[in-house]
Amino acid sequence: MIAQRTYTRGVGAPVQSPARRPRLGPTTRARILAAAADLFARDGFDATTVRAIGLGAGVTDAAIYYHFRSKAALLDALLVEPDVAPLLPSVGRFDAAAFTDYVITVFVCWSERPALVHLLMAQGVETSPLAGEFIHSLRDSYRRLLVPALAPWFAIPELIADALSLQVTGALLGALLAHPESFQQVIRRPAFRRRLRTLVDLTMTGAASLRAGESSASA
Amino acid sequence: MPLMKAVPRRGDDTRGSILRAALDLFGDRGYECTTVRNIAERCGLTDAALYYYVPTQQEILETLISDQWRLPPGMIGDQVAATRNLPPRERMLALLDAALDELAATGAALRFMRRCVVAGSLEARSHRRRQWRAWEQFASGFFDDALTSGQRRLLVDSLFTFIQGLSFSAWMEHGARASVVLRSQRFRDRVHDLVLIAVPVAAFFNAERPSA
Repeated sequence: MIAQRTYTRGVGAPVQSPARRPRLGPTTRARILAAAADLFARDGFDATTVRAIGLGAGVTDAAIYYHFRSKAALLDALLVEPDVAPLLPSVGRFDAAAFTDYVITVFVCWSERPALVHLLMAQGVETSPLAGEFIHSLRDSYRRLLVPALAPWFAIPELIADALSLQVTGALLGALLAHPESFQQVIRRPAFRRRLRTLVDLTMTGAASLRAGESSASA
Repeated sequence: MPLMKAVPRRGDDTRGSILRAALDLFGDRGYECTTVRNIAERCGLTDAALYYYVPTQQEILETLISDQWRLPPGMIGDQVAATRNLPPRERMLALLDAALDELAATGAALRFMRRCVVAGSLEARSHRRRQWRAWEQFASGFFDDALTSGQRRLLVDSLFTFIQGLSFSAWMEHGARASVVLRSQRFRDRVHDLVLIAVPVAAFFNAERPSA
């Protein structure tokens, strides 16, 4: 127990043989990632030094480089999409309400890591060279998650997935600009989720009316 | 210390081009990462010549803030009258196109403002709020018939959220080319398809609700 405490405090943290101690707290790797997400969100990617991340996580620079090749590799590791595949609705017929739930679930998985969402938004506002990659990876990950669920029911699932991700992106950017200091708290509030749900509901209404149009045209 | 020296007539153009260059650079890389030399290079001046027109970088910033963060121009207002008799769907597409034209024209200023907001500028924040409210009021005018105020608010809110997400994605994806992309027909066609899904305007108007 006591050994664990000194370990998490980090001053002169023993770097070797973590396997021998019982894993009570988060792993070194997880702590580095958490510290990096917070600092990137607060200070931006460029202004954050590896040393600052080390201080935040309570580890040495060397420990960081042991786990991650570079600062960019740290960012890549943060951008891993949440695993929501098990939550995919497996309904016999398309159910708009269930799908709305699904989209909200996808979003909530992101918003559980508000520092990361903040980083994505702020970096995008700054249009750094990283930004283009961010938006592509974000759009791809939304498409990967949403298109398979939409494809059996809609002729143009990519378009609907893109419309949904634009609405979510717009709502997040709006929250960042309206509450730049408290963004990370705001996106976790029920009020923000309700707003998101309304927007997703509307989009699904639009998708459904499109489908009605399609079927009446083919009939 | 105000610069009281009489500036030659054609100097107005130089000053204007300095301000435009500064706006582009501030929008692209931020105020802190832009040097006076960067601005001078972009408009083909020496540092010294630039200081003749604009004494400090701070003054460039202040001028940009007062000039560029303006409310939507009245010009767009005419389009309300022009589309009054169109069906809601066409009216919404006209409003979207007007907003995209505006974004293409003033994108650098908007990006600059967003940067300042995120960096914690209260002035930028209150300006953004005013601008947002003005747009909201303006857009509501497009749909002031046959809708309750609640429906109108929802319609305008979802449309603006869409435009916000769209402009964000376009700048991230296309960077400096975004204003060209925003104006291109191909982009507009796709955006029209997207907005009719994201903002199902027909569903707001009972008469046009799909019969299915």
